[in-house]
Amino acid sequence: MSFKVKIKGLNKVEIQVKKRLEDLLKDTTMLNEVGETTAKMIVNNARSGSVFKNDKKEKIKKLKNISIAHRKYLAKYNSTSDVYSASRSNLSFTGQFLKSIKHTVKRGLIIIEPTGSRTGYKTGPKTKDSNPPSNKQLAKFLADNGREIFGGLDKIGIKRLKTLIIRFLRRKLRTK
Amino acid sequence: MAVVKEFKGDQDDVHIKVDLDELFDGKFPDNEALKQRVGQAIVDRIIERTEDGLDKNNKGLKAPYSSGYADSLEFKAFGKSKSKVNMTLRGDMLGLLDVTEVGESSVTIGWDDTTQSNKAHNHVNGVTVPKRDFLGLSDSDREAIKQEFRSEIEKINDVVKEPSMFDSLLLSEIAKLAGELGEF
Repeated sequence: MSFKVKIKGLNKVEIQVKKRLEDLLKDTTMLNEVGETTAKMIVNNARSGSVFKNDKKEKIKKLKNISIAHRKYLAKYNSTSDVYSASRSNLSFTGQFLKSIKHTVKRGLIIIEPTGSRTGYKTGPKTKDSNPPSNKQLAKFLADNGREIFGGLDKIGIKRLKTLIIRFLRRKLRTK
Repeated sequence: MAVVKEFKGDQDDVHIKVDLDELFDGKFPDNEALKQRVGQAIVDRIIERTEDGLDKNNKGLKAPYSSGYADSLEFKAFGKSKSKVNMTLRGDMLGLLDVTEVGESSVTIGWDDTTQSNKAHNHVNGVTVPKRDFLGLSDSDREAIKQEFRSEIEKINDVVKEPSMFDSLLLSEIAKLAGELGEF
C-alpha cells in the first residue's frame, strides 16, 4: 500500500516565493534601467557608425556618392549634428532621428523605438521639405535600405544587461 | 590587516579581495545573502566614485583625456567631455564590474570578461594610458558601506541563518545568470 503525501502549506509558500520573484523581474525601476542602457547603446553605436546584427557590431552600410553630394548640399542650409560628416554613414545628419529613440516600459515589456515627428530639411535658402516622414517611417525606410538599427545588441551588450539584472536581484536579497 | 587583502593586476585577471571581518571590525556573519549584498554595495561605490572622476584614494582621476582620444569619433559619438575623466566610453568596463566570488569572510570584485580585465589592467597600472587606479576602497567608501550594513550586522551577528526560500531562489537565479555570463 502506498500513500501520496501532499504538503499543502509548502506548495503555497513556493508559489508565493515564485510570484515574488516574477514580480521582482517586472520591477519598473529595473526595466527602465535596462531600457535606458539598451537605447543608449543603440544610439551611441549608430552615432559612431555601427549597428548590431546577429549579436555582433558591424559598420553601417556606406553612403553612395550621390548621397554624399546631396548631404553636402543640404548641409549648407541645415544645422548638422556634432558627429556629422558628409561621407560618414552614422544616421546623424541633423541628429533628429537618433535623438527621437526612446524606451518605454509597458506591462513588463521594454519597448525601444523612434518617436515623434521630424522637422523637414531646408532644401535651399528659402525652400523647405514640408512633408517630412515621421521618425518611425524613417526607421522603416532605413531598414528596407540595409540600415536596420534595431537588430538587437552584441554579446557584450547582452552581458551588460544580464549584469544589470544580477546587480538588481542582489540588492533585493533579504537578510532579516 | 588591510581591508583589501589581495589586489591582483594581471592582464587577464584584475580583482580585489575584500576582507569582510576587517571591513566591519569583527567576525562577519556567515550569511550568503548578506555577503552578496555587501559585495554589490562595494561594486556600486566603486562605480559611483569612478563616474564622479575620483580614484580609489578619492583623488581626481588624471585629466584631461589626451587630445588624440578626445578628437576621435567614438569620443564624440558617446557624448564624452575632454575634462570629465570617468573611465566610461561605451560603459562596458564599469558595466561588467561584478562580485566574482564570495568566500568564507571575503568578497572578490573584478571581471568575468577578459577584454574588460585587459582594459582595467591598462588603466590601473598605467601601461599605455596615464595611471588611473579606480579599483579599491577609499576611506569614505569604507565608511559608507559600514554605515549601510552596521545595524543589520549587529542584529544577526550571533545567529547563523540559513537563507530563506526567497533568498535561495534569488541566489540560484543570480548563479544561473552569472553562469550564462561565463558562457560568452
